[in-house]
This record gives sequence, structure tokens and C-alpha cells, in this order.
Amino acid sequence: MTTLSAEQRVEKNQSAFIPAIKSKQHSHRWRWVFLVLLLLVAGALAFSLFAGSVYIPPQEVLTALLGGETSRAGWTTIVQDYRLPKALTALLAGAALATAGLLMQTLFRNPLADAYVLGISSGASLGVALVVLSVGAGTATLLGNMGIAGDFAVVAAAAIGAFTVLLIVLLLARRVHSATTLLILGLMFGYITSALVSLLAHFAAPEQLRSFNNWSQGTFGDVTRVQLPIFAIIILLGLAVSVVTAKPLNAMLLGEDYAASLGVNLRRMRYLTIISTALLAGTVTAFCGPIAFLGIAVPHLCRVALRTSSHNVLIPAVILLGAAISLTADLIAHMPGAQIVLPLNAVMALFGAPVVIWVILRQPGLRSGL
Amino acid sequence: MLSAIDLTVGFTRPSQRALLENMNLSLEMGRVVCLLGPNGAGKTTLLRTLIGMHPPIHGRVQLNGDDIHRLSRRNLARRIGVVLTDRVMPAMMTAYELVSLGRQPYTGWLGALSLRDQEIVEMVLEATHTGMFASRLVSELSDGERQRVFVARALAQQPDLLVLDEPTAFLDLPHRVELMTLLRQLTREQHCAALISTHDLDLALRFADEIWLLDGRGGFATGTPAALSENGAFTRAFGIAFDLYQHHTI
Repeated sequence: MTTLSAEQRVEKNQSAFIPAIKSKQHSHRWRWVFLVLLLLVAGALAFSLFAGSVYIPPQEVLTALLGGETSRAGWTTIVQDYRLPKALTALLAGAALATAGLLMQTLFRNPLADAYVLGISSGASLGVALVVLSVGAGTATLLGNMGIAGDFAVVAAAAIGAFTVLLIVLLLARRVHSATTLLILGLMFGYITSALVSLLAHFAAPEQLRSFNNWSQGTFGDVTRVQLPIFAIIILLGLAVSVVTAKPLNAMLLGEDYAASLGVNLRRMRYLTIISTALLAGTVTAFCGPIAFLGIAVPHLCRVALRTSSHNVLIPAVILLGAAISLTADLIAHMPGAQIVLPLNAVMALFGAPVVIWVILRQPGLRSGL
Repeated sequence: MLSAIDLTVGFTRPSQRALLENMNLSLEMGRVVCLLGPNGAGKTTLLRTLIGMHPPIHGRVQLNGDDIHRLSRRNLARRIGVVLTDRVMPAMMTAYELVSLGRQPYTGWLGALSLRDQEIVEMVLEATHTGMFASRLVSELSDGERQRVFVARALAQQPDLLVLDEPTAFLDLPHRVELMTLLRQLTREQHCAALISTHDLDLALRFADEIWLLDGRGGFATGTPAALSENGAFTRAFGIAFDLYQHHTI
């Protein structure tokens, strides 16, 4: 059937209009969802920049953002050194974690997989703990005082930790075919790594411990203006790699055998997905601490909103929604006008846990076991 | 078109164990071949070897003169479309999207469908009578509908050969007959051949142009349903008295 005969063409034109129309409706819905997502991100970003514990008139914030001189010197510092890096960090981190979650869910064909559940963030934690808790007492604050070399060591440690755990999980995934078993194994990795972290903590100096604890609560505020470019470049690189995996991951929705029958190079697809996830989740964990739930919740929300599993649509969608949610969570954590700062992970869990519960109750395949 | 030359198939890991030895098989364009045999006879292993997903122990498999184990993945995917036994139930995927995945061997690195790709998707939806539920989610389709959509997906690869591993296993009788009728019709209309493994002897006898029969002890026989029935191959394979014209069922 390499060519269409004339008769077939005529027949096709007469009755094939149904899917064409339906797919148009589909893209109509997508356009709306993407418009809403863009507005959400823009709104949350604007809020993060213009609102904060200190009131700065919007005109002055704009001036500071554009590099001009504000009427008070402190305002420039607040906007340029604090609000802007924090907002951009939240935006990138949310996009990165949501994308990593999406990739993990497809790779493991498990709706509850994400970088956190599978022990990848724990791996990153262990890497960071090794660096922070075992180096000399000179590192009073985790990322602040270590400079570029310190950043690099922490990021590298987190990425190596994440990468190692992901590789182990992936090797196990080839032997273990039950997704539930795999999740349990991932949890066990989490326990092992946190046990090792506790052991390291036991022998660490108090100030090292304090900086590690701050890190493990999760925050977007620790990435400085100097560090931000490094953070951004690695995240953008990870996102770029994730785009390359969209096509093979679409085939993976049918399982490895079907993917192979469609010409997918499984090994290459696995490695690209691992590299992307390790860059994304590893980097975010290194700079912002282990942040849970975003990775699980955002892909599900996007699938339901867009009624598709296509990664070509989902990757941009989770990037936007991940960014919007993490910006919002950070806003809630900092509560503009108030002086209290809530732990970011607590806020995230309040967002994430109900979604996970809803997913479990909603999917018949999950309710009856995987 | 498809031919197996002196082919020995079996397990290669952990240790080599041949299931079927020195087979010579051939399959012609436009024909439906049913692969029959008791469980454990090596049907799936043979199928997987013939579609290049499993290495042969010995011999080679040729498709239009090319050794399929030497073809690139993409090239192979343009020539062989498969429907596997796994009951895959992708969430949040429409039938149209599922069938579109069959275009992957032809699309670029992002997998975007060209107008030509869309034409072909719509044509195979038409040919498999699945156009009316193209916009429905695969998870909401009945078993029979879903199986037809999977056939459409395989067909969207524009293959020379369709390979189906027990496609009727989950279907009730009317849907089995419907699917086999469809497959027979498709091979005639779409210039491809179909190789179908099945337990359904009755259906195989009715719809196959040719039967490949494994007896479960390493032996095999090929021929038209009538020829195999006459020379007693079914009786030897299944261990029962068998007469095509009395319509025995297993």
C-alpha cells in the first residue's frame, strides 16, 4: 500500500472528515489551555517581582528591573539581587521538576513515578550531604560562601548522586517488570540514602548541619545573581534534551516492544531520558533542595487539562504549569506583606498530595493495583 | 516476499536452546498465514525472530531480499507492522493519536505529521473502519474496537508485512470473525501480507490461505488448510482425530 489509488483518494475525501474535524477541536482546546498557562506564569511572575515583604512602588520595581536607579538604593538591591533571581529560580525549578516527572512517568510507565519517589532526589541529597557535611567547617552557609568552585562541587555532587541512583533504578527496571516493585525499590533507596545522610549529619559540625537542614527544606531564595546563569544554563540544557526525547517517549507510551517495532532505539532513548532527568532534577535539588510533589502532580494536571499523552504537547505544558505552580507556591510561602516564611516543601505538599490522591482514586488501573 | 532460510530459532540467553530447527518458510504478498501450535511450541519466539526483535540462532530471515536482522530499525519499521499480545491501554490517548504513532518511522525528529502522514492516517482509519471513533480515547474503546485501532496503527507504518501475535485472544466470537475478515480484506487491498499467530484453529482454517503448524516437539508443517488436514498434520500436532470437513473445534 505504498501508493493511494485514485479511487481510494476519492473515498477518503468523502468520509474521512470526522477525524480531521475532531483533531481541530482538540487543538482548539489546546490553544485555550496554553493561553491560560501563559497568563498564569506571567501573573505569578509579575506578582513575585512586584509584591514582597517590603513594599516597593511598581514604577520603582520596573526601573530596577530595567537597570535604572531607584529613589532608594535598597530597592534596587531587593529587586535585582533578591526578587528577580528568586523568581527566575522558581520559574526554572518548577519547569525542570515537572519535566523530569513527566519523563520519569513515561520511562517507567508508572503514573506515580517522579525524580523524588524513585530516589533520584535522595541520591542528589546524599551527594550534597557528602560535599556539605564532609568538607571543612569553612562552609558556613551552603551555597553562599563557597563561590563558583563551591557551586560547581555541589551541583556536580548532586548530579552525580542523582545520576547514580537513576542508573541503578533503571538497571533494576530491566529486571523487575512490576512497576509497584520498582517504586518500593526506589523508596528503599530513599531510606538508604537518608540513613547515610543521618550518619554524615551525626559527625558534622553544627553550622554545617544547619546549612544542610536549610537546604533540605527547599527554597528558591538561595540562588544568587552570580549563580543564576549557571543554574539557568544547566536547566535549559536539560529541557533541550527532554525535547529530543518527545518522539521516542510517545512511542514508549505503548511499551518497549511497540516502541522498538516503531524504530525507536531503546537504549539511546533511555540514556537521553536519564541525562535529561539527572540534569533537571539533580540541578534543582542541588540549588534549591529536594522539592517534592511538583514532579508527580504537574504532568497529571496537564494530561487531564489537555486530554492528551503526546509529549510534544505535554512538555511545553508541564514547563509552563510547573513554573506557574512553583512561583505560586513560593509566593504563598513568603506571604507578601507578612514577615513569616513557610517551608516551601510544606506548601508544595499541600498542592501535591491532594492531586496524587485524586489520581489514585481516578485511574481504574491504579485502584486495582499496577 | 518474506522468507526464512535454514532458520533455527530459540532462546539465546541465558543458554542457547533451539526450539525450532532448520526451517524454510516463505510468505507471499496478499496472503494470510496463520501460525498454529500448542503453547510452548515456540510461536512467539518464531514471530519475534521473523520480525527482527529476537536474534536467530542460525539461518536468516529475508524481506524482499534484505536480511531483516541487518536492516536499520527505522527501515525495518517501515516494512513490518506488528500487533503484540500485550494489552496496552495508554491513558489519555485518542485512537487518532495512537494510529498516528504508526507514522513514526517516516516523521522527523519531533514526530510532527506532514499532510501526507495525516492522509495516510485517515486512509487507514477508513480501511479498518475505525474513523468513527478516531477522536475517542483508546481506554474508552471496547476490546474489539481497540484491536482494530491497533491494526490501523500497524497499517499506518505502510508495511509489507503485518504480524499479529494472538490478536483474537481477548475477543468474543463475532469480533474474532470481524477482525479476521478485516485482516483478510486488508491484505488483498493494501498490498501486504499478514502473519497471525492464533490458538483459534477454527478461525485459522476458515480465513488462512496457508497454515504454519508447529507440533510442540520441534516439528513443523506448512500448507493450505485442506492439504494439512488431508495429510494428518493436525492430528499429529494436536493429538486428536481431525477431519476438516467435520468441523472439529479445539
